Amino acid sequence: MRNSNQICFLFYPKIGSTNLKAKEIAKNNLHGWTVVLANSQSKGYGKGKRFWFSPAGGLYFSLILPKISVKKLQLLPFVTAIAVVKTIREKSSLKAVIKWPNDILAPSYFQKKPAFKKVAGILVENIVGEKSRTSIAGVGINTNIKSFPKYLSPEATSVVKEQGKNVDNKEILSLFLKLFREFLKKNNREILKEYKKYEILIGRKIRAVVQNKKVPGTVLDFDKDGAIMIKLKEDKIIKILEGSLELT
Amino acid sequence: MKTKIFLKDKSYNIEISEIKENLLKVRVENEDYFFSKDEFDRLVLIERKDYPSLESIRKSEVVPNLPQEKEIKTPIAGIVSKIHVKDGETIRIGQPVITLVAMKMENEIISESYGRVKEIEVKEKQFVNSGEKLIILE
Repeated sequence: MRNSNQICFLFYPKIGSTNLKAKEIAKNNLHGWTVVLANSQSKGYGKGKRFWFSPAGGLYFSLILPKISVKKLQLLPFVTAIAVVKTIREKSSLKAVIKWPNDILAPSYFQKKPAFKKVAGILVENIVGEKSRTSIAGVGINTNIKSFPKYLSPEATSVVKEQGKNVDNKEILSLFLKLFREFLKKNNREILKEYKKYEILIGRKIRAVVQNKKVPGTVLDFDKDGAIMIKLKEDKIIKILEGSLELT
Repeated sequence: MKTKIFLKDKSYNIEISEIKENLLKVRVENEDYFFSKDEFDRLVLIERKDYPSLESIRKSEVVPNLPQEKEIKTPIAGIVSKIHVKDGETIRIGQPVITLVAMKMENEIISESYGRVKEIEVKEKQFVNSGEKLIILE
């Protein structure tokens, strides 16, 4: 059984989806600490199987992890987000931030008013049995993508677009893995503390879209499971484990 | 039937026997694998026993203890986003039964038992806490 010091890389010039391939591989026991890596994806996907634009130039990979405790599992998206945001900040001039739960945004200056646009996406998928559990941290980083289709331009950007210079995908992957392993070893309190340094919704007024209802409120904090705590009207506090949030 | 097979330069002693109609036992060194046929006439793994010592091999039962009812519970909290099985469907070991979503993590809950779906205890869009029952198999 491999440990985190012996990572195996499976490289594909072209692939449907690194997460799908990782799930196929994860059906045997020899897969812990394996990275499935591709130059481009034809069927890359994010949350809810939404299409993830994955042309050559970007960095697309899925890290297969061995069994993680349930307590740590709840914060796995946060650990992944921390590793991605710190890697982008170290290897480029982008001041990347996290939008709960794990959207990675960066300030973009290609329109009249600067806005935060998505520069990376994370999808954690777990295969969960009674005794077994395999986690796959899927990451797509818009590193050296020079342009986006019209429908994505309002919401997506890339490192090369914002800083005018390419980055080395191998170096980005290498630093991500180093930071990921480092933060996975920390306790949940330390992970939450680091997460809050980069998360931009804390203290802000938002509208939570939860199961088709829009709920206005202010973001207070995150609990030990990573749920977002929101203060509504009349000081009522709710916790949301799953949903999307709009800034107001 | 006893035989020896070679895989990647290693040899394995294999013994195949039919315990009763539709139940096949395959012994590989110190491990017993029990197979049954599903509704498509395919052999499906239903149970596996490890025998770390000779003593436990001598004491082992020939037929696996198949529980009457088996509950599939979720070890994590989340919202049911998709139910992959139907009432009455036969489930194989390793088959995904429900996908739960929590904090943008998609969790494919797989069955670690063989059986037929007796009851689906949850609905799509329902929130479940860790430890809650999802499916009952018979």
